Amino acid sequence: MQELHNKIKSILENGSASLFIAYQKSREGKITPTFITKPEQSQKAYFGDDCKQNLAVYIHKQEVKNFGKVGIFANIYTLKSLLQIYAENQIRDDYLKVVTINPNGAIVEFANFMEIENYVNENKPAPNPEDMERVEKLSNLSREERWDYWLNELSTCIKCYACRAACPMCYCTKCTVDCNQPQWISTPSHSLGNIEWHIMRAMHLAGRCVECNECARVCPMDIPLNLLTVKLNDTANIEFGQQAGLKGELDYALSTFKVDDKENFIR
Amino acid sequence: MSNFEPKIIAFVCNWCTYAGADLAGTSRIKYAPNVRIVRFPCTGRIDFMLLLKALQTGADGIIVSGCHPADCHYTAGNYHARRRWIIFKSLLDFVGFDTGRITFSWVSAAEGAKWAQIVNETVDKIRDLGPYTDYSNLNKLGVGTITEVLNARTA
Amino acid sequence: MNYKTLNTNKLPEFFEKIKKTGKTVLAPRKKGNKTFFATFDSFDQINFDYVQTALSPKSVLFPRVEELFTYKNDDGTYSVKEPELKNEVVVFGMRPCDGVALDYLCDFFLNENPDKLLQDRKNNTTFISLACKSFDNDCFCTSVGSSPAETLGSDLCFTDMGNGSYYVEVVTDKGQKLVDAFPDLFADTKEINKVEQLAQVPVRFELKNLVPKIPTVFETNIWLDQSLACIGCGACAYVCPTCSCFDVQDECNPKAGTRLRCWDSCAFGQFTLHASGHNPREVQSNRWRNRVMHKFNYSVQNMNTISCVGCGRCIRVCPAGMSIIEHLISVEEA
Ligand code: SF4
Ligand code: SF4
Ligand code: SF4
Ligand code: SF4
Ligand code: FES
Repeated sequence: MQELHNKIKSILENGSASLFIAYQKSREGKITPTFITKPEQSQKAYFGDDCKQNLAVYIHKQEVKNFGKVGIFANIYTLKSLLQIYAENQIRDDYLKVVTINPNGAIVEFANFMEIENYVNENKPAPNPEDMERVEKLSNLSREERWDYWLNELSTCIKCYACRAACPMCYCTKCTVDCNQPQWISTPSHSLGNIEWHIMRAMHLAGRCVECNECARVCPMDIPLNLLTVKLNDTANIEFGQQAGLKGELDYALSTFKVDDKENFIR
Repeated sequence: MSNFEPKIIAFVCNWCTYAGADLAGTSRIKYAPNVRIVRFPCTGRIDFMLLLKALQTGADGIIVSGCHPADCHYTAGNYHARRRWIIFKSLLDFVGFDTGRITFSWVSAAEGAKWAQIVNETVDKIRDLGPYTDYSNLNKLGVGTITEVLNARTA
Repeated sequence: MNYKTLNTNKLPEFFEKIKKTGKTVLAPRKKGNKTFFATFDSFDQINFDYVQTALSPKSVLFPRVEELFTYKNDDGTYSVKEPELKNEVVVFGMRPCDGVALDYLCDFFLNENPDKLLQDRKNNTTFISLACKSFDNDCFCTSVGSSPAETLGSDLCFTDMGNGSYYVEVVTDKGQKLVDAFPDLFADTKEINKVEQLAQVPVRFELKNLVPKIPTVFETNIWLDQSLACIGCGACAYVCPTCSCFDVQDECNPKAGTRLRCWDSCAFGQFTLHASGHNPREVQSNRWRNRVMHKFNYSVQNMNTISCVGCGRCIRVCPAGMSIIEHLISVEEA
């Protein structure tokens, strides 16, 4: 931890960032993000396996941007998100200082996104076996059973949009659910509005979701909505060989094509 | 169900399928009148949200059609669309939506007969499947009290 | 107030009997690690091992989406239909703080311009609270003027006396009616001191210092410091038993339509967005300030009470680990 504190301290002192985002144990004993602006506050930073939140989400926040250059402590999923966000041209290399702890416990400071790309590819997390299993299990049900399953789960959505707010890839300044000319998605959280919302959300994250599982973690209703994007990522990978969060250059299944893409349902 | 007439919404591109449908008309090829055609510049413009909108407002079936690969007026709109449908279909299948209600096709400006066939076959198929209200009726499910929070299906 | 006792092993019978009268019983049920109110069908589904339910019982009076009316246009003849709410409900297992919240919510919706739907729902519902035997770090009822012993807003209040019986406080006529319907289940008793049976929740801050202090820090940076972590979702407001903001949505076509009322939250950027594009609460810190100010200042001005009951739900749900306790303490210390 000392090494991390020193790193943050020096980053703030040498001016490569005026705000450093890390985890802390709050007064209430919760793991929360902390926003460090003074070198002497660096010892607030904490890191452990219990640090789950994907901090990349704060990169988009206006009040964070107001600080100018920002430093961020990133776990592997945050790194993947940052790389994807970078590939999508949402951040500039010189405005972000990224720090992580490698598997040997050493502090790594990245000079640029190329280094992040290399690091992420060397340390990429395996797909969550539990999620893969659940996707597999659902895929083996009959169509009607799947519809029942999802209707049951998604009907309980209260449309708090915590899943959207927590997702670093959901950075649109105006989300489709907020558009009312036309009203693409039914605003109320009846089952129709909920299913539309989740189909839309999953489509927008297909091949972009880095599988940090923040959406499912934050859902007050415990809806396993990450399975939708896990499934679509799988499709993007199988069909187009594309994976999110591994490249610093845009590689997004739906923004490109191959002349010989295969399908078996278009007549 | 005998006098059920399916409502089919067709999302087609201007340059091929729309012209193909036009050709079917000028060639006086008879086909089922159940289809309402919505014309788009290109399949690349056909957002999946439009399909959801059609279902939400009571369509029983959908046709999505445009230029054959390599024939898109804008060079690559249909290639992009093809990827989008691959992903979209995977999602709909995964949530258990009956994708049999959606017909995807390539119909060129010269294929009036193919267009008529696509429409007829889609209409027949939807006629067999029956009216589709499951989706649009969902807007009644979940309106009410906390009772449906955990057992939505039974409330 | 009347006092009764109920044998704990008679509880299943109590529920079965209520169910037989055609009423819906809502009781706590587990989903994953959380507990929600759900329709009672069998006693073994009920979960008793929870500090607080994830969603509050406000949904019973003020559902997340409800129909206000439907209308039809039959070739130029318009007809409007309002929903008729007849379903009678018994809610079991809410906590005493939830009762206080319901009391506030009813005050809010029923005082000046009574909301008919909410009134009907209230008339049709009997709320039974189950006094807390345990609490967690996020509970702070005793800091905001209530406690596990509170009965305000409950129709009946059950306390497990640890001797195989519930001590039942009959708070309202509605509660009395329910008890009277099953005379063989309930026995008369005198007022008992129940406090020893209840959770001893520590006081975290001094409300009487805090309430006058809050408006004095309105213009300070404290809100930004507190809310940099806030990601602006609606989770805290939606789980909060007193948050009462709603949005009205029309879903219609030329032939028919429905007007719906849905939950809304002041944490959303769109909540205050004007048609002109101007947003008076432009950034999240403004929105967070509104949340705290509403609970601890505007409600006091407008309704003569604070509108936080210390249930801790917003803390447990927050994706960013924000804690209103911590933030109130920091205001107190500022
Ligand atoms: S976090 Fe959960 S309840 Fe909230 S909008 Fe997302 S899926 Fe729905
Ligand atoms: S759901 Fe889609 S439109 Fe909304 S914020 Fe996410 S990516 Fe953007
Ligand atoms: S739940 Fe937390 S992150 Fe969401 S709006 Fe409330 S305070 Fe902000
Ligand atoms: S503000 Fe938080 S603690 Fe207070 S009543 Fe609402 S949810 Fe409960
Ligand atoms: S113009 Fe027909 S598909 Fe692009």
